[in-house]
Amino acid sequence: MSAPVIWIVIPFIAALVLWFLQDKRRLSLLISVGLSFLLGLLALFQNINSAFRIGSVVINIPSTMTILGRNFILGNDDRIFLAFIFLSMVFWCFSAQAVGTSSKFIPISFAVVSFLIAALSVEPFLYSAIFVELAVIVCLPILVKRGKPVGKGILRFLIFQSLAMPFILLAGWILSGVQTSFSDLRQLYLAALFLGLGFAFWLGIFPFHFWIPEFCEENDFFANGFVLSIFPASIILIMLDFINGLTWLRDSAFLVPVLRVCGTLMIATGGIWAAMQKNLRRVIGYVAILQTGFLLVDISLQTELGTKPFYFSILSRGLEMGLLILALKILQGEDQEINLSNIDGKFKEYPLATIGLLVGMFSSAGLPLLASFPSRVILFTSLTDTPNIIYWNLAGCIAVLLITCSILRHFFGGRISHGSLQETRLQELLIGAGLIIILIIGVFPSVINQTLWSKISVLLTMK
Amino acid sequence: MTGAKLITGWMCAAILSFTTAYQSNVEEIGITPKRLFKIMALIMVWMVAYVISSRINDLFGVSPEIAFTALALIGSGLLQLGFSSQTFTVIVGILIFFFGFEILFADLENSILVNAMILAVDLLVAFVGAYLITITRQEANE
Repeated sequence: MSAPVIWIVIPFIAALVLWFLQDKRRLSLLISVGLSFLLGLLALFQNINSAFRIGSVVINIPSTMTILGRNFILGNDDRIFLAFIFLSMVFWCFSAQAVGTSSKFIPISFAVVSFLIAALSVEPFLYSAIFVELAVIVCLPILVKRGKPVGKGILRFLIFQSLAMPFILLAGWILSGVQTSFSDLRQLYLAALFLGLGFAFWLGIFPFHFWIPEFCEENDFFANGFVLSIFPASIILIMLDFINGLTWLRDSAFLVPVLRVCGTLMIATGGIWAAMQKNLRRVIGYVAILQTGFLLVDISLQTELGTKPFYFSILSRGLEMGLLILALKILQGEDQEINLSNIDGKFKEYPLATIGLLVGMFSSAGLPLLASFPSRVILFTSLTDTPNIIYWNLAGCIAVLLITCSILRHFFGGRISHGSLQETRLQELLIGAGLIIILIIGVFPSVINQTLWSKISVLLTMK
Repeated sequence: MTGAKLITGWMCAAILSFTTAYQSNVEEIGITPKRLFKIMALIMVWMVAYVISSRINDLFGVSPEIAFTALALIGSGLLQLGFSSQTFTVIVGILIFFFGFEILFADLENSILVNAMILAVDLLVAFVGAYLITITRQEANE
């Protein structure tokens, strides 16, 4: 049983099975959580290209699966991503149950994850574009609600993600032609331009990011949040794979400034625009833009020192987005709108959700003692040769701090609510777990850095 | 492959045609300023496609006729996407954009698997488009 069968085919089959178990929500939850946890643990502890032993049964896990002459390759360096994505699926499945989202969410999320992992592992890489497009199309049914019109944000999400596919396919075709000879610089630059445009559309990189806040504002915020959390993290890893595989692109003079400028623009505009919003769902959209910007700046470091904040940023981003989306979904309840004006005094009814939202926002801004702080410190120390980039990044973070303080004032101020506690036990448990993990990473950064980084660095150097 | 593309196009049109019952908007009849502007924009896009088709020929080595057809469709699709925010027209816009790209790409890439997967994506876009239109209009119609 090859690694792609375990981490691509099995989740896809699970998605099909879970589709028919939608009415049995408890069983569906049990299967999805159990499978995600198992696959996450397997990714963490089981070496690929070695044998897996259960008693007397020995199963070899080769890294490659071949279908119609195309290879799907999952190596040991992909295990961190696999562990991250499947362990975060545990959280998303539990959260789906906690907030009572659509019964389609669990099967479709499994199918999306399966397609995204296929996109990461497929060779030749031009097939990645098709798999990402499949993931986009498959996730659409969870983004709309019966009887509610499809919003502009969702349509723009579909448009921008679809526009990326032709660019990546064309770039892949050009690169397959010039791989034997790098003498045609015009073709190489064209390929780089197409790749850049493709990734800009996928990730919502400036100036193609304006759909993200609109997307957050519409229909089922929980499903939209899942898409905003999983897609950028997966696509940025696919991008990293591309960059690492193409030496001429990695060594090109334009890559670092382009990544740095685009990332900084996203951080500054994301933060400043977030500070001007009244709708909290739009605020989360802008925070997602800011976090993607930080990932781009992390990649631009291109050193071992840069890899470290990148992986920590991916981890902290996943935690923060999960916490923010769950907390906001709980606070939102059945209402569609959640503005600064209608959250006055919500702390009495939703104490843990309000704390979760505030901690998620403060952590996104990079406040000390929270999850993002260690990676931001490493990033800013590495960027001392370009102080302007640091200033603009700090401006984005300060703007997020300002809007968080405004939200804090509204939560604890305004009219005093006399309602009883509205949170369920499962919601409290999930928010509590998220808070504890964010605090542990922030309070003991060196311990976490050492234990986690020693594991990540071993996996990244393994073949 | 050309036959497969033709049939896929027909299937996409057939899938989307089932949703016409859910279309509530009645199009205005006659030449309105909006429609005139769209026609002018479309003519401009096609002129630009004609002008740059020879450059595409230099870059990718495809014949100017194919490059013009592909670019005209890509431009028309983008124009449609830019002008509309209705689900049906957006889906049609995406499909036009994809079909334009496929004309160009089929001339470049001979792999049957890639082309077949792109056709599958076209069909899925049409399916999901039909699903989005019906599910969001169902209650309104009932």
